[in-house]
Parts: sequence; structure tokens; C-alpha cells
Amino acid sequence: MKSLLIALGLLVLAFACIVAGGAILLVAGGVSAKAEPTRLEAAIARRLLRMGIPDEYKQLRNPVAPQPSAAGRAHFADHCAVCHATDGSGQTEMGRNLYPRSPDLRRAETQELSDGELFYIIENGVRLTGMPGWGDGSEHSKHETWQLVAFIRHLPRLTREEKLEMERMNPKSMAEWREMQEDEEFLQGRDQPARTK
Amino acid sequence: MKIASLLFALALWTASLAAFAHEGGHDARGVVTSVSADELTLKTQHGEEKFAVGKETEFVKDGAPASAQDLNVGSRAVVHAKHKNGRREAFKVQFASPPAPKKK
Repeated sequence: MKSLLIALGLLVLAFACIVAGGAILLVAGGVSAKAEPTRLEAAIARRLLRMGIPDEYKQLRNPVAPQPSAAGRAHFADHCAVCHATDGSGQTEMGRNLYPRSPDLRRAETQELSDGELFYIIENGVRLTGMPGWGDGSEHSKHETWQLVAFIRHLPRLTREEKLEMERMNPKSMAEWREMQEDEEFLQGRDQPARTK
Repeated sequence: MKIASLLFALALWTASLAAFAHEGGHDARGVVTSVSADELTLKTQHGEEKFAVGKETEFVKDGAPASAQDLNVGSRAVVHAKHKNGRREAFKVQFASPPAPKKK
């Protein structure tokens, strides 16, 4: 009984220390997203992420063809690239400034996740990150998500041709479309050279 | 234990320990006046502009992957660059094949 009370007391003490530590860090650092996540924090977050995925999803295998489809590539370019970058590096204005940063999907931390874990993350999102839950529960949504899983597996081998093709599919503002058109006209000699912004 | 780990992670997530430097962008259209393995110079309406190039720089000719060797002096080019380390680093250079000579 005594040892149980001691264990309980230690648990309460540890919990109080964690809360106090968190409060001190909050007061010292505020809620800014500009800080670089520490390695410890990233490791804990990765661990928690995998713990939070239900076991029934972890065992799932991708039912669509293992080779990435053009549809999966286009979907990624249109929906995911704004944060994850066309090549999956996460090096975009959004991805670099999220907290936590968009992960490099080509690296082992992502590639070692099972098909089912990737599927779950895309469908359901991840709390307290910039990752939304994209799934609506429909079969169509699930099929698209599996296509994305296949494409994510392909990211480490993405060719320059594929990347350029995808960049043309990235979402663009009216101003960006206009600028792209002007660039093309300039390169074709249909405009006066030498514009700088 | 799972809850304690979650709370600890939450506490850490709220910490702000370092500033993040914003990277500014710079795009330019002009005519190539010189190109080497590490630098590209464009003549734009503001005068000559120099850009650092390197292995990270992506060269695109007629919408397809290319290399710095494909770029010639006198070609029109569009350079997309970032301000980094006190200079402009080109991350993408687009250019087109020279126009075919006009038939007489």
C-alpha cells in the first residue's frame, strides 16, 4: 500500500512538473510559431502521432496500384503542394512557417509509415498541426487518398519532368497566372525585355 | 502516461525559442550577358543584375529540364531568386530556344 502511494505521489509530482514546465515555456516564449521545434519535441510528436493512429488502420495495405497514377500526381499538385511542396520537401512559404514545419515526405520518418498510417493521416488530419483531415468518408474520397498514398511512396524518385508538369498544376492567384503569362510572352520575344519586380 | 506525454508535448509546442528569418523573393526578366558555373548576369531595365547559381538552381528550357550549359549569352531569361546570405540566389531560371531565323 505504501509503495503504491509513493508511486502515485511520484506520478502526481511528475505531472505537476510537466504542467509547470509547459507554463514556464509558454510565458517565456509565447505562442509564436517562428521558433524551430526542438529535436525532443519532434521525437515526442512523432511518437504520439503513431500512438494516435488506430491499430486497424496500421495494417491496411494500399488497394490501388503501387505505381502512382496521373490522378494522384495532379491531386497532390493541386491540394498538397501548397504546404508540402511539389517535390514533397515541405519547402514552401506555408510549409516552412507552420508549427510544426511541414515534414519532408521523402525522408524515412514519412516513408517508414505504413500505407494505412499515411491513409489515416490524410483522411483524418493531425491535431495541433497544419494538417487538415481531408476525408469525407465516401468511397470516392478513400480512393483518392489511396492514390495520394501511392504518390507519396513515389516522391523520393520524382523526376524533373514530373515536377515541372506538376508545377503547372499548382494553385495560382490571378496575379501569378498573369505573371506566368507575361514570362512566357517575354521568353517568346513578344514583349519588351527587362522587367523586374 | 500517454496523457502526461501529450501534455508535455503540448507545453513544448507552445515554446518559442528562436526567430525565423523571412526569405524575400526577386524575379527578373532580361537578356543574359554572362553565365558561369556560379553566376548569371541579366541585363534588365534596371541595369545589370547578378544572380548566384549552383547545383540547387533549376534550369528550364522550353518548359523542360535543362542545364546551365544550355543557356547562351544573348538569350532571354526569367530568373526566380531568393535573397539569401546577402545575395540573390537563383532557384529557377527559365529560358527559351532562340527564335528561328526569318525566311527571306
